[in-house]
Amino acid sequence: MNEAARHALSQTNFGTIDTIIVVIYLLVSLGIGLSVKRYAGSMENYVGAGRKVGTWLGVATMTGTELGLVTVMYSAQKGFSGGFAAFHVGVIAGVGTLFVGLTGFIVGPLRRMEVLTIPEFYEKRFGKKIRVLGALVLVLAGVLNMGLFLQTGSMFIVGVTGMASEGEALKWVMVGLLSLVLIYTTLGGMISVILTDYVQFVVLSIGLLSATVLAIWQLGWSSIVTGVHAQLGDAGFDPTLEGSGFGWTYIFWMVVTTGFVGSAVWPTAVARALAMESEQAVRRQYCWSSLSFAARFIIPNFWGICALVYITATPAGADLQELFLPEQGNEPALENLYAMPVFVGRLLPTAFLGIVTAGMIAAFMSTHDSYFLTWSSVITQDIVAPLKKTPFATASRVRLTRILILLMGGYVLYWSLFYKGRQDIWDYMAVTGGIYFTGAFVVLMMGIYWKGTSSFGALLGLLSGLLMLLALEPVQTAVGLKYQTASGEWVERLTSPQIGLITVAISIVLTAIGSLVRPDRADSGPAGNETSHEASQSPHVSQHGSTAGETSS
Amino acid sequence: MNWSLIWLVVFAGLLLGFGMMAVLVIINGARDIRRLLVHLEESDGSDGDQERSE
Repeated sequence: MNEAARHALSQTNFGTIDTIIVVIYLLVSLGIGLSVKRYAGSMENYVGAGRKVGTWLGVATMTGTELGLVTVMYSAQKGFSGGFAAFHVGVIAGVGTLFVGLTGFIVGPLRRMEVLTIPEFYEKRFGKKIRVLGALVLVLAGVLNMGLFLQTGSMFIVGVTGMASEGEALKWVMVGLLSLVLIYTTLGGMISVILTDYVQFVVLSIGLLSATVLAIWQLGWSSIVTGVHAQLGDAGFDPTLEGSGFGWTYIFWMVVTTGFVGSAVWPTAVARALAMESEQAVRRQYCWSSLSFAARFIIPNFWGICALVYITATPAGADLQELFLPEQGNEPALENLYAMPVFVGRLLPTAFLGIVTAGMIAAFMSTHDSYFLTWSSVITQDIVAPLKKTPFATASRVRLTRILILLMGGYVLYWSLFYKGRQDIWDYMAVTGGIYFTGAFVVLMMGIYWKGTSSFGALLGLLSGLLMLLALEPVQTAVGLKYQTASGEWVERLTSPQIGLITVAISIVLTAIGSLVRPDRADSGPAGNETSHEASQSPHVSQHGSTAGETSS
Repeated sequence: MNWSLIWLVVFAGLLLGFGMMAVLVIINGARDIRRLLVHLEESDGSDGDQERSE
């Protein structure tokens, strides 16, 4: 980084008062997390908060989980590069979540069955082997998916505080934030996650709304619109134009990913639904959360748009233009993920900046804690427990889950330091998530709504999701789906959204064909397989749950 | 199609809706937390009683 870049990045209003605000907030969060440790004795409490979460707290925790700092960062990046056209992703997310809330699509039947995790549904419907396979695919995708959370979130912190100008700061911020989350998640489980999510919701919503109003006030709405038009033309507004970086294929891919999967299939969101006190509460939670699901994309999109306008159309941001949008032939552009935090650091006044930064750290923590807890509990409940021949005591389960959380923390740090990809962060997320959800979406949907779905069909459906690995950029390059021309231009034979949509189609076809070719025998229970010891011992699974067949329409 | 007008309406509606929801969640969420803690306290106590009787 040259001297001009270092100087430009160090310009921020973040001061001592802001640091104090952030530290106080972190201590309060940690204190709350640790204070409920004593309730985390049983697995149902540790993973599902005793299934006693009310609607409003459910909305807070759903928002806290799904509106993470990584979401803020990648959505701002999309706004910076795509302008207002990026808003379509948020609109689709909001409408999809509202649809799930109004109809109870997928989550309603799951809550009625009183399962704790999605793989637990697989076992009730298809047998133990599908549960373990589904859990393995889920964990592979989920853990890959959160690989860049830490790095991206930390980039916000160093960008907004001016630390981006110091080479080693990013690594230290990553280690510090990760340690904090690991401490309270490991000790308090879902109860501490939900309570801290509430505090994080309060800080986050105040930060999001006030920073947005301030940005409009400082830049002016008409200047923002004019600025986007000057930089991106009509493509900055119309997502259906291919030149916008989106287009119809991308929009359809978003309908699948953010419209339905993000709310009804993604395990961290579903885990919230399954912790609610009733199905009615789940539906209310989803209806209200549709606003959060839209806001989590659109508000950060707007911050990215404001950053673009600030850099390209205001004198105050002129020194950043050469960094983020250099003339051809000059030094390569700085990672555009930094654009939004640097803009926020310059726009907001001291103290206010501290509150917004605390809100963003809140977003970071609330996502990390939920993801750690969700993936580790899937390994414990859905892979280890079903495979164990002997009873698996509650204390051992909680202990194993805690160890897994720590191991995942180590992995996330490693991945953040060493993964190299050129995809936008959001596209990386959609692709890695797709490894799980392209198969799971189909198997869940067909398993719930079509009685004829068999365990063999489910097996094929889940495995076909692995085709999504082909959309991961290093894999695309390795197998020749993406290559560089002699002039240095990168060409894709199939884009990630195209691979995603093809994978969903293949999964549907294979699940249907597999179910028709090898239907389950009617006399042998789920898939003709034995149910696991854990499932047969668990009263909420074996006594109260209706079968998927009963919920079929 | 006037995209800039559409996005203005979407954005203004979202800010209004999200702001309203935030107020409701902050007020009612606190009540839900109280209920959750009371429940956990009770189940904690009954678990303890059960363990003692065993």
